[in-house]
Amino acid sequence: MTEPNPSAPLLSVRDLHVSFQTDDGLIEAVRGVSFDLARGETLGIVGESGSGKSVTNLALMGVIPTPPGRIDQGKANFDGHDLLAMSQSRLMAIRGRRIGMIFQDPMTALNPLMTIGQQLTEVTRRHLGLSPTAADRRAAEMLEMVGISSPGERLGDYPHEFSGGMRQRVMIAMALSCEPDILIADEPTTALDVTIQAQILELLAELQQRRGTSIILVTHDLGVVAGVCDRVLVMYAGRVVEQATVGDLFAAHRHPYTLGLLQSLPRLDRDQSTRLDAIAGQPPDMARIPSGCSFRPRCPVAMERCETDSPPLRELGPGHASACWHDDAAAAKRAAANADSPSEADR
Amino acid sequence: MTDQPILRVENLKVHFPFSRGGFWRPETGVVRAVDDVSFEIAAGETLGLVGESGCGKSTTARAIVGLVKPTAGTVTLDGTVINGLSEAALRPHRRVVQMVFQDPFASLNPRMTVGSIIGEPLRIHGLARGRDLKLEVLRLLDLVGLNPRFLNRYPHEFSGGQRQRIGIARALAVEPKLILCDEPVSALDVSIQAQIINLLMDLQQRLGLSYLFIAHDLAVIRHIATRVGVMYLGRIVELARAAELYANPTHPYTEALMSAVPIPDPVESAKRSRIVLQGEVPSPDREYPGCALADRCWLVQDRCRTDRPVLRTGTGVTADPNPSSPHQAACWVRQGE
Repeated sequence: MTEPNPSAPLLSVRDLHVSFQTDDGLIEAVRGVSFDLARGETLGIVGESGSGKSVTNLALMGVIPTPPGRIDQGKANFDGHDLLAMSQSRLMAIRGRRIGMIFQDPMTALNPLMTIGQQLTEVTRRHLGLSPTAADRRAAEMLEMVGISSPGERLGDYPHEFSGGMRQRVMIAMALSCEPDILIADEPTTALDVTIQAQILELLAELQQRRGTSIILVTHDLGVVAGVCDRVLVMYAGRVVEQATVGDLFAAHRHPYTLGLLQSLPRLDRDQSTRLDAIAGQPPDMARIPSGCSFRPRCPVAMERCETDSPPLRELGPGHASACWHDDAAAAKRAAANADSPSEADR
Repeated sequence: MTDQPILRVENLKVHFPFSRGGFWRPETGVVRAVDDVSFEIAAGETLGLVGESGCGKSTTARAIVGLVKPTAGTVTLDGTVINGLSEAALRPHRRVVQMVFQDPFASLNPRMTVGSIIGEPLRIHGLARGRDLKLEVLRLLDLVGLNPRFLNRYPHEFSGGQRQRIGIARALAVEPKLILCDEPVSALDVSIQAQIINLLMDLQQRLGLSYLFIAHDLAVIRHIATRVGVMYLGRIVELARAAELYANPTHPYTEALMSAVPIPDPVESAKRSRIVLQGEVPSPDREYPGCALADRCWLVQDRCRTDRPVLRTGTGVTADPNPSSPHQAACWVRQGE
């Protein structure tokens, strides 16, 4: 397991559970999440507020506030080491160095009292042991790489002197300045306008191609997913409900929640004057997760079994898995139909 | 449908003076948040206003209802010019137009019950009291799809989508003809966003409402709007029926904006080419004698920097088959002569 193997996943998360003690009682924010991240891959994690997509990544970075939060269970194997079992000091050597992170709001993630240059050089001096002059040179290079003009002069500027898009570029420069193996980007473009969003996404794709960085992209925007991701996890109420390649997710999705998300989107590329197919009901209250399948109260095809048993995530094909009892029913029907006539295969 | 538009905005300007630079080197100037904007909204119609942050779309709405004072221009609401009216003279007209805000967490008073939030406009305008008031509030709750049991609950007990329904019920209480919706769905999750869009469209059909619908999401605007105005740096740069605008975007800014929107389809997404505008949206504290986009536009000519293009139809703008809502753009290059 500690042997370096180029075909093995760079990061392998197994059965992650995270909970928070709140006034409302114990909230299980992440309830058994598993996934692999390959080298050079972009993995999208989509889901609505409260689905556990951000908490999953905070847990990997070791920044869950404890208490009230707690990692109850799970492993996250990164290059032969379990991130979740690591001491803070060892984790600090990895965080920022081999795993970089970009947050949604660049204004709160940057220190307003430090210049951009100070913040950029802090990372490389600490992790790479660069001298002050070398760190300055590196900081200017990084700013130039993310498309900030006259980078040498801008190193002395404070975050408030940059626009939102520029600050996000600074965050990316900072996250990439130690050439990490993994970049975790949590809604990196949500606070930005579409034209700036497009610039930032292009920048990430370009950097990934040049350096082979793996990216975990947390987003609620299925358009962003379609544009940049290789594989996607769909999360609902703390669990992965579907996992697929980006092609399968849009063309051959299986979980009713994934279908609901796609149908509820107004489309720029289609004329539709009809009503949107909204998913009924409200997002789950994580303090009162329904029994059985957590999507059941909003699911148009829920059956009796969904009320009592929670469906496991099961493989449907290569790289494609879904957690829905209907896949069971569909598989049984298919088997029965195949016995009579081979044509009735799809649901 | 009468010929008289429910809302007519003519040459609206909202300029905010500012001073900065400290005591020793004071610097004063003017931010041109809304700079000469004109449009009409017909009865039963939805006009979408779309643009990036700082383009002036929200300020336009706030100026219409008097939350900010227009620097110049006239706002005619249902046949009455309302800007310049005294508070007392304005009150009856306030019933004609209501607002729904973006943030369903900030726009509801946390200390008031749902019943008193929705009932307040009815009391203020003297439309109902006592038992009638309660019945009316219950009717409104039902209208927006909320359970009557919620009457005595407080806003914090609701999710974002439910709060937005409360905000819509409050706006409907005084039976307005026009509702200004300022990013009403952008704070909501995708599945809930669709519910609220459906609700707004149902209500429009049932009650014959007109909407000014402000959003930065071009897909949402396409779905809900009859006509669309695209704003950039305080100006409307293109105005057309929705179907026409999305089929034939004419202004370079509209084109660039549309090409930047991610399409939720990996196949389509790979086929698209994106038009990249140079740099970022500049600050509106400068005066632009010509076209506001001139510094970033790939079609720019000398004239664009000196003369301001007016919003009009032209040879380069596709003619809309519907003559009552012509396709207009403000671009010297695309309009031809």
